[in-house]
Amino acid sequence: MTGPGDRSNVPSGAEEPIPDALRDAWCELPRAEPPSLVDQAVLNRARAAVEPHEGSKRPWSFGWLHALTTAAVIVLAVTLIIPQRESGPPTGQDLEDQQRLEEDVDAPGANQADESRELRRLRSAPPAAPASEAQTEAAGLADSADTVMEAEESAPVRSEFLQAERKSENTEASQPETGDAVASTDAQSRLQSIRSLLAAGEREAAREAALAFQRDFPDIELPEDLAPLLSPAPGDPDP
Amino acid sequence: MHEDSDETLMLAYAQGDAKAFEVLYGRYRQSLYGYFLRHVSDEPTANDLYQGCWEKVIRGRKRYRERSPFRAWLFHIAHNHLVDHYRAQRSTAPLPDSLAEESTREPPAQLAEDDRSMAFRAALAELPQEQREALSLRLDAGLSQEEVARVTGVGKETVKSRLRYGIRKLREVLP
Repeated sequence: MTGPGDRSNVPSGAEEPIPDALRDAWCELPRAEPPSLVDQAVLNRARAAVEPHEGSKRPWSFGWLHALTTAAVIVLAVTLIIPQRESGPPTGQDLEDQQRLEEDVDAPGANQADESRELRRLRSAPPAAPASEAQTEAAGLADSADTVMEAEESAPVRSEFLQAERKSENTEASQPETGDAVASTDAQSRLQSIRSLLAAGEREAAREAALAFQRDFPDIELPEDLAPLLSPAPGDPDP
Repeated sequence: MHEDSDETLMLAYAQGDAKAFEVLYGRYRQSLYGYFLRHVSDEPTANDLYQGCWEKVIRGRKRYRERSPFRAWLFHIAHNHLVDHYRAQRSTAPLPDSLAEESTREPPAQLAEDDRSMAFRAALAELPQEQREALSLRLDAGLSQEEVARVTGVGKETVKSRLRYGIRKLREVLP
Protein backbone atom coordinates (compact mmCIF):
# COMPACT_ATOMS: atom_id res chain seq x y z
CA MET A 1 0.00 0.00 0.00
CA THR A 2 1.13 3.51 -0.61
CA GLY A 3 0.52 6.52 1.50
CA PRO A 4 1.83 9.78 2.71
CA GLY A 5 4.67 8.07 4.44
CA ASP A 6 5.72 6.06 1.44
CA ARG A 7 8.75 7.72 -0.03
CA SER A 8 8.63 5.69 -3.21
CA ASN A 9 5.54 7.70 -3.96
CA VAL A 10 7.39 10.97 -4.00
CA PRO A 11 8.75 11.75 -7.41
CA SER A 12 12.17 13.23 -7.55
CA GLY A 13 13.11 15.29 -10.53
CA ALA A 14 14.37 18.58 -11.74
CA GLU A 15 11.05 20.28 -11.34
CA GLU A 16 10.23 22.61 -8.48
CA PRO A 17 12.52 21.08 -5.86
CA ILE A 18 10.90 19.94 -2.65
CA PRO A 19 13.23 20.32 0.32
CA ASP A 20 14.07 17.17 2.24
CA ALA A 21 12.88 18.73 5.48
CA LEU A 22 9.48 19.30 3.95
CA ARG A 23 9.35 15.76 2.59
CA ASP A 24 10.23 14.46 6.05
CA ALA A 25 7.61 16.62 7.73
CA TRP A 26 5.05 15.55 5.16
CA CYS A 27 5.86 11.90 5.74
CA GLU A 28 5.43 12.41 9.46
CA LEU A 29 1.89 13.72 9.06
CA PRO A 30 -0.67 11.43 10.67
CA ARG A 31 -1.43 8.60 8.29
CA ALA A 32 -5.13 8.64 7.85
CA GLU A 33 -6.98 5.57 6.76
CA PRO A 34 -10.55 5.27 5.59
CA PRO A 35 -12.88 3.56 8.08
CA SER A 36 -13.21 -0.16 7.48
CA LEU A 37 -16.94 0.22 6.85
CA VAL A 38 -16.17 2.58 3.99
CA ASP A 39 -13.57 0.13 2.67
CA GLN A 40 -16.14 -2.62 2.78
CA ALA A 41 -18.80 -0.52 1.11
CA VAL A 42 -16.47 0.41 -1.75
CA LEU A 43 -15.28 -3.15 -2.27
CA ASN A 44 -18.83 -4.52 -2.15
CA ARG A 45 -19.89 -1.94 -4.66
CA ALA A 46 -16.96 -2.79 -6.93
CA ARG A 47 -17.77 -6.49 -6.77
CA ALA A 48 -21.45 -5.94 -7.38
CA ALA A 49 -20.68 -3.81 -10.44
CA VAL A 50 -18.91 -6.65 -12.22
CA GLU A 51 -20.86 -9.58 -10.79
CA PRO A 52 -22.75 -11.54 -13.41
CA HIS A 53 -26.52 -11.57 -13.14
CA GLU A 54 -28.07 -14.29 -11.04
CA GLY A 55 -29.44 -16.06 -14.07
CA SER A 56 -26.11 -16.36 -15.83
CA LYS A 57 -24.25 -17.19 -12.61
CA ARG A 58 -26.25 -20.30 -11.81
CA PRO A 59 -27.88 -21.34 -15.04
CA TRP A 60 -28.54 -24.82 -13.75
CA SER A 61 -29.99 -24.13 -10.33
CA PHE A 62 -33.59 -23.09 -10.93
CA GLY A 63 -33.94 -23.64 -14.62
CA TRP A 64 -36.26 -26.57 -14.18
CA LEU A 65 -38.37 -24.59 -11.74
CA HIS A 66 -38.84 -21.78 -14.25
CA ALA A 67 -39.84 -24.25 -16.93
CA LEU A 68 -42.27 -25.98 -14.58
CA THR A 69 -43.80 -22.69 -13.47
CA THR A 70 -44.23 -21.51 -17.04
CA ALA A 71 -45.86 -24.77 -18.04
CA ALA A 72 -48.19 -24.64 -15.03
CA VAL A 73 -49.23 -21.06 -15.82
CA ILE A 74 -49.98 -21.96 -19.43
CA VAL A 75 -52.03 -25.01 -18.48
CA LEU A 76 -53.94 -23.02 -15.88
CA ALA A 77 -54.63 -20.20 -18.31
CA VAL A 78 -55.87 -22.60 -20.97
CA THR A 79 -58.11 -24.49 -18.57
CA LEU A 80 -59.64 -21.28 -17.27
CA ILE A 81 -60.00 -19.30 -20.45
CA ILE A 82 -61.33 -21.93 -22.89
CA PRO A 83 -64.30 -23.11 -20.81
CA GLN A 84 -65.21 -19.52 -19.99
CA ARG A 85 -65.18 -18.50 -23.63
CA GLU A 86 -67.40 -21.43 -24.44
CA SER A 87 -69.84 -20.59 -21.66
CA GLY A 88 -71.52 -17.77 -23.60
CA PRO A 89 -71.43 -14.01 -24.08
CA PRO A 90 -70.07 -11.82 -21.30
CA THR A 91 -72.43 -10.32 -18.78
CA GLY A 92 -73.18 -6.61 -18.49
CA GLN A 93 -70.78 -6.24 -15.63
CA ASP A 94 -68.02 -7.88 -17.68
CA LEU A 95 -68.58 -5.55 -20.56
CA GLU A 96 -68.49 -2.59 -18.23
CA ASP A 97 -65.23 -3.77 -16.71
CA GLN A 98 -63.75 -4.32 -20.13
CA GLN A 99 -64.83 -0.88 -21.26
CA ARG A 100 -63.33 0.74 -18.18
CA LEU A 101 -60.06 -1.06 -18.77
CA GLU A 102 -59.96 0.14 -22.36
CA GLU A 103 -60.67 3.70 -21.20
CA ASP A 104 -57.77 3.45 -18.81
CA VAL A 105 -55.51 2.32 -21.62
CA ASP A 106 -56.70 5.18 -23.82
CA ALA A 107 -55.96 7.70 -21.09
CA PRO A 108 -52.22 7.49 -20.48
CA GLY A 109 -52.30 10.18 -17.79
CA ALA A 110 -54.73 8.20 -15.67
CA ASN A 111 -53.80 7.89 -12.06
CA GLN A 112 -51.83 4.72 -11.42
CA ALA A 113 -53.35 4.28 -8.01
CA ASP A 114 -56.83 4.20 -9.51
CA GLU A 115 -55.64 1.71 -12.06
CA SER A 116 -54.13 -0.46 -9.38
CA ARG A 117 -57.35 -0.39 -7.35
CA GLU A 118 -59.32 -1.24 -10.44
CA LEU A 119 -57.04 -4.16 -11.22
CA ARG A 120 -57.33 -5.48 -7.68
CA ARG A 121 -61.12 -5.27 -7.93
CA LEU A 122 -61.06 -7.20 -11.15
CA ARG A 123 -58.77 -9.83 -9.66
CA SER A 124 -61.12 -10.33 -6.73
CA ALA A 125 -64.10 -10.83 -9.05
CA PRO A 126 -65.72 -14.29 -8.90
CA PRO A 127 -64.18 -16.90 -11.17
CA ALA A 128 -67.39 -17.14 -13.17
CA ALA A 129 -66.49 -13.88 -14.82
CA PRO A 130 -64.77 -14.50 -18.16
CA ALA A 131 -61.11 -13.55 -18.10
CA SER A 132 -60.10 -11.53 -21.07
CA GLU A 133 -56.49 -11.39 -22.15
CA ALA A 134 -56.24 -7.83 -20.92
CA GLN A 135 -57.48 -8.88 -17.50
CA THR A 136 -55.03 -11.75 -17.28
CA GLU A 137 -52.14 -9.45 -18.12
CA ALA A 138 -53.37 -6.80 -15.77
CA ALA A 139 -53.65 -9.31 -12.93
CA GLY A 140 -50.09 -10.41 -13.54
CA LEU A 141 -48.90 -6.84 -13.40
CA ALA A 142 -50.74 -6.15 -10.20
CA ASP A 143 -49.30 -9.30 -8.67
CA SER A 144 -45.76 -8.22 -9.37
CA ALA A 145 -46.47 -4.72 -8.11
CA ASP A 146 -47.88 -6.14 -4.88
CA THR A 147 -44.89 -8.41 -4.43
CA VAL A 148 -42.47 -5.54 -4.84
CA MET A 149 -44.45 -3.34 -2.48
CA GLU A 150 -44.63 -6.06 0.15
CA ALA A 151 -40.95 -6.80 -0.14
CA GLU A 152 -40.09 -3.15 0.24
CA GLU A 153 -42.36 -2.65 3.18
CA SER A 154 -40.99 -5.64 5.04
CA ALA A 155 -37.31 -4.91 4.38
CA PRO A 156 -35.80 -4.09 7.76
CA VAL A 157 -33.32 -1.28 8.16
CA ARG A 158 -30.62 -2.93 10.22
CA SER A 159 -27.92 -0.33 10.57
CA GLU A 160 -26.52 2.86 9.20
CA PHE A 161 -24.06 0.89 7.16
CA LEU A 162 -26.77 -1.10 5.50
CA GLN A 163 -28.59 2.11 4.78
CA ALA A 164 -25.48 3.50 3.17
CA GLU A 165 -25.06 0.38 1.10
CA ARG A 166 -28.66 0.48 0.06
CA LYS A 167 -28.29 4.13 -0.86
CA SER A 168 -25.30 3.22 -2.95
CA GLU A 169 -27.25 0.48 -4.70
CA ASN A 170 -30.14 2.83 -5.29
CA THR A 171 -27.76 5.33 -6.72
CA GLU A 172 -26.46 2.71 -9.11
CA ALA A 173 -29.97 1.78 -10.10
CA SER A 174 -31.27 5.27 -10.54
CA GLN A 175 -28.31 7.11 -11.95
CA PRO A 176 -28.55 5.79 -15.47
CA GLU A 177 -31.92 7.53 -15.59
CA THR A 178 -31.09 10.67 -13.63
CA GLY A 179 -27.49 11.54 -12.78
CA ASP A 180 -25.99 9.91 -15.82
CA ALA A 181 -28.62 11.36 -18.02
CA VAL A 182 -27.87 14.83 -16.76
CA ALA A 183 -24.11 14.31 -17.03
CA SER A 184 -24.52 12.76 -20.44
CA THR A 185 -26.68 15.62 -21.67
CA ASP A 186 -24.17 18.10 -20.34
CA ALA A 187 -21.29 16.26 -22.02
CA GLN A 188 -23.19 15.97 -25.28
CA SER A 189 -24.01 19.64 -25.36
CA ARG A 190 -20.38 20.49 -24.62
CA LEU A 191 -19.24 18.24 -27.48
CA GLN A 192 -21.78 19.84 -29.75
CA SER A 193 -20.50 23.30 -28.96
CA ILE A 194 -16.93 22.19 -29.68
CA ARG A 195 -18.06 20.91 -33.07
CA SER A 196 -19.79 24.22 -33.73
CA LEU A 197 -16.60 26.11 -32.95
CA LEU A 198 -14.67 23.82 -35.24
CA ALA A 199 -17.19 24.28 -38.02
CA ALA A 200 -16.93 28.04 -37.60
CA GLY A 201 -13.18 27.80 -38.13
CA GLU A 202 -12.32 28.75 -34.56
CA ARG A 203 -9.83 25.98 -34.05
CA GLU A 204 -8.04 27.49 -31.09
CA ALA A 205 -11.28 28.08 -29.23
CA ALA A 206 -12.36 24.57 -30.09
CA ARG A 207 -9.10 23.25 -28.73
CA GLU A 208 -9.57 25.19 -25.50
CA ALA A 209 -13.07 23.83 -25.20
CA ALA A 210 -11.85 20.30 -25.88
CA LEU A 211 -9.22 20.67 -23.17
CA ALA A 212 -11.84 21.93 -20.77
CA PHE A 213 -14.06 19.02 -21.68
CA GLN A 214 -11.30 16.55 -21.03
CA ARG A 215 -10.65 18.20 -17.72
CA ASP A 216 -14.29 18.13 -16.68
CA PHE A 217 -15.03 14.62 -17.90
CA PRO A 218 -11.86 12.57 -17.46
CA ASP A 219 -13.75 9.34 -17.72
CA ILE A 220 -15.38 10.22 -21.03
CA GLU A 221 -13.39 9.65 -24.18
CA LEU A 222 -13.27 12.53 -26.64
CA PRO A 223 -14.94 11.40 -29.90
CA GLU A 224 -12.66 10.53 -32.77
CA ASP A 225 -13.63 13.55 -34.82
CA LEU A 226 -12.51 15.88 -32.01
CA ALA A 227 -9.50 13.95 -30.74
CA PRO A 228 -7.05 15.58 -33.21
CA LEU A 229 -7.72 18.90 -31.47
CA LEU A 230 -5.69 17.72 -28.51
CA SER A 231 -2.70 16.44 -30.40
CA PRO A 232 -0.02 19.12 -30.33
CA ALA A 233 0.38 20.95 -33.61
CA PRO A 234 3.95 21.36 -34.91
CA GLY A 235 5.51 24.43 -33.38
CA ASP A 236 3.09 24.53 -30.49
CA PRO A 237 4.58 25.36 -27.11
CA ASP A 238 4.31 22.77 -24.38
CA PRO A 239 0.57 22.16 -23.91
CA MET B 1 7.17 -12.01 -7.79
CA HIS B 2 5.78 -10.08 -10.74
CA GLU B 3 3.47 -7.29 -9.75
CA ASP B 4 0.80 -6.11 -12.13
CA SER B 5 0.84 -2.45 -13.02
CA ASP B 6 -2.02 -0.21 -11.97
CA GLU B 7 -3.07 0.11 -15.58
CA THR B 8 -3.18 -3.66 -16.09
CA LEU B 9 -5.25 -4.08 -12.94
CA MET B 10 -7.70 -1.39 -13.95
CA LEU B 11 -8.19 -2.93 -17.36
CA ALA B 12 -8.65 -6.34 -15.75
CA TYR B 13 -11.27 -4.88 -13.45
CA ALA B 14 -13.04 -3.28 -16.38
CA GLN B 15 -13.26 -6.77 -17.85
CA GLY B 16 -14.87 -8.13 -14.70
CA ASP B 17 -11.98 -9.13 -12.46
CA ALA B 18 -13.06 -7.94 -9.01
CA LYS B 19 -9.83 -9.20 -7.43
CA ALA B 20 -7.87 -6.78 -9.58
CA PHE B 21 -9.88 -3.94 -8.12
CA GLU B 22 -9.11 -5.10 -4.60
CA VAL B 23 -5.38 -4.92 -5.29
CA LEU B 24 -5.73 -1.52 -6.88
CA TYR B 25 -7.87 -0.30 -4.03
CA GLY B 26 -5.26 -1.45 -1.54
CA ARG B 27 -2.61 0.52 -3.34
CA TYR B 28 -4.49 3.80 -3.35
CA ARG B 29 -6.84 3.79 -0.40
CA GLN B 30 -4.51 5.65 1.90
CA SER B 31 -3.18 8.22 -0.53
CA LEU B 32 -6.63 9.00 -1.88
CA TYR B 33 -8.13 9.26 1.57
CA GLY B 34 -5.23 11.47 2.66
CA TYR B 35 -5.84 13.68 -0.34
CA PHE B 36 -9.45 14.30 0.64
CA LEU B 37 -8.67 14.66 4.30
CA ARG B 38 -6.20 17.45 3.57
CA HIS B 39 -8.92 19.46 1.88
CA VAL B 40 -11.93 19.07 4.11
CA SER B 41 -11.89 19.60 7.80
CA ASP B 42 -14.25 16.89 8.92
CA GLU B 43 -13.93 13.17 8.57
CA PRO B 44 -17.53 12.38 7.53
CA THR B 45 -17.20 14.70 4.54
CA ALA B 46 -13.87 13.12 3.65
CA ASN B 47 -15.53 9.71 3.87
CA ASP B 48 -18.32 10.82 1.54
CA LEU B 49 -15.91 12.32 -0.95
CA TYR B 50 -13.66 9.30 -0.84
CA GLN B 51 -16.52 6.86 -1.37
CA GLY B 52 -18.03 9.02 -4.09
CA CYS B 53 -14.73 9.19 -5.91
CA TRP B 54 -14.38 5.40 -5.95
CA GLU B 55 -17.97 5.20 -7.09
CA LYS B 56 -17.02 7.30 -10.11
CA VAL B 57 -14.03 5.08 -10.77
CA ILE B 58 -16.24 2.00 -10.66
CA ARG B 59 -18.84 3.52 -12.90
CA GLY B 60 -16.24 4.81 -15.34
CA ARG B 61 -14.23 1.57 -15.46
CA LYS B 62 -15.10 0.80 -19.06
CA ARG B 63 -14.00 4.21 -20.19
CA TYR B 64 -10.54 3.86 -18.76
CA ARG B 65 -7.79 3.64 -21.38
CA GLU B 66 -4.35 2.24 -20.70
CA ARG B 67 -2.55 5.15 -22.29
CA SER B 68 -3.61 7.29 -19.38
CA PRO B 69 -1.62 6.49 -16.22
CA PHE B 70 -4.06 5.16 -13.65
CA ARG B 71 -2.64 7.28 -10.85
CA ALA B 72 -3.21 10.51 -12.78
CA TRP B 73 -6.63 9.33 -13.94
CA LEU B 74 -7.71 8.50 -10.39
CA PHE B 75 -6.56 11.80 -8.95
CA HIS B 76 -8.08 13.68 -11.84
CA ILE B 77 -11.42 12.20 -10.90
CA ALA B 78 -10.68 13.00 -7.25
CA HIS B 79 -9.85 16.61 -8.12
CA ASN B 80 -13.06 17.04 -10.12
CA HIS B 81 -15.04 15.44 -7.35
CA LEU B 82 -13.54 17.87 -4.88
CA VAL B 83 -14.27 20.82 -7.15
CA ASP B 84 -17.89 19.65 -7.42
CA HIS B 85 -18.01 19.52 -3.65
CA TYR B 86 -16.72 23.07 -3.34
CA ARG B 87 -19.16 24.26 -5.95
CA ALA B 88 -22.02 22.66 -4.06
CA GLN B 89 -20.88 24.45 -0.92
CA ARG B 90 -19.84 27.66 -2.60
CA SER B 91 -21.49 29.87 -0.01
CA THR B 92 -19.62 28.34 2.91
CA ALA B 93 -16.39 27.16 1.34
CA PRO B 94 -15.54 29.29 -1.65
CA LEU B 95 -13.10 27.89 -4.14
CA PRO B 96 -10.37 30.48 -4.43
CA ASP B 97 -9.56 31.40 -7.99
CA SER B 98 -6.78 33.86 -7.49
CA LEU B 99 -3.31 33.68 -6.11
CA ALA B 100 -3.40 37.35 -5.18
CA GLU B 101 -4.01 36.80 -1.51
CA GLU B 102 -1.56 33.96 -1.18
CA SER B 103 1.49 36.04 -0.43
CA THR B 104 -0.31 38.04 2.25
CA ARG B 105 -1.07 35.13 4.52
CA GLU B 106 1.31 34.28 7.26
CA PRO B 107 1.88 30.95 8.95
CA PRO B 108 0.49 30.79 12.44
CA ALA B 109 3.30 32.36 14.42
CA GLN B 110 1.53 31.99 17.71
CA LEU B 111 2.10 28.26 17.86
CA ALA B 112 4.77 26.98 20.15
CA GLU B 113 8.08 26.74 18.36
CA ASP B 114 9.01 23.41 19.84
CA ASP B 115 5.95 21.70 18.46
CA ARG B 116 7.11 21.52 14.87
CA SER B 117 4.71 18.90 13.84
CA MET B 118 1.70 20.81 15.05
CA ALA B 119 3.02 23.98 13.51
CA PHE B 120 3.54 22.20 10.24
CA ARG B 121 0.01 20.85 10.22
CA ALA B 122 -1.40 24.23 11.10
CA ALA B 123 0.63 25.90 8.37
CA LEU B 124 -0.54 23.33 5.90
CA ALA B 125 -4.14 23.91 6.88
CA GLU B 126 -3.60 27.64 6.40
CA LEU B 127 -2.35 27.26 2.85
CA PRO B 128 -4.67 28.34 0.07
CA GLN B 129 -6.52 25.41 -1.38
CA GLU B 130 -4.62 25.39 -4.70
CA GLN B 131 -1.22 25.33 -3.04
CA ARG B 132 -2.27 22.62 -0.64
CA GLU B 133 -3.68 20.59 -3.50
CA ALA B 134 -0.56 20.98 -5.61
CA LEU B 135 1.56 19.77 -2.70
CA SER B 136 -0.84 16.97 -1.89
CA LEU B 137 -0.91 15.75 -5.47
CA ARG B 138 2.89 15.81 -5.55
CA LEU B 139 3.53 14.27 -2.17
CA ASP B 140 0.43 12.18 -1.38
CA ALA B 141 -0.43 11.05 -4.88
CA GLY B 142 3.11 11.05 -6.22
CA LEU B 143 2.20 12.88 -9.41
CA SER B 144 4.77 14.71 -11.46
CA GLN B 145 4.49 18.45 -11.87
CA GLU B 146 3.17 17.95 -15.37
CA GLU B 147 0.55 15.51 -14.15
CA VAL B 148 -0.50 17.93 -11.43
CA ALA B 149 -0.95 20.57 -14.12
CA ARG B 150 -3.07 18.21 -16.18
CA VAL B 151 -5.17 17.09 -13.24
CA THR B 152 -5.86 20.59 -11.99
CA GLY B 153 -6.30 22.04 -15.45
CA VAL B 154 -3.67 24.75 -15.19
CA GLY B 155 -0.30 25.35 -16.80
CA LYS B 156 2.94 23.87 -15.55
CA GLU B 157 4.23 27.29 -14.60
CA THR B 158 1.18 27.89 -12.47
CA VAL B 159 1.74 24.61 -10.69
CA LYS B 160 5.35 25.52 -10.20
CA SER B 161 4.43 28.84 -8.68
CA ARG B 162 1.84 27.24 -6.41
CA LEU B 163 4.39 24.78 -5.21
CA ARG B 164 6.96 27.50 -4.71
CA TYR B 165 4.63 29.64 -2.60
CA GLY B 166 3.43 26.65 -0.63
CA ILE B 167 6.91 25.37 0.04
CA ARG B 168 8.08 28.83 1.07
CA LYS B 169 5.35 29.12 3.69
CA LEU B 170 5.81 25.62 5.02
CA ARG B 171 9.54 26.12 5.31
CA GLU B 172 8.96 28.90 7.78
CA VAL B 173 7.76 26.38 10.33
CA LEU B 174 10.40 23.79 9.50
CA PRO B 175 13.73 23.56 11.34
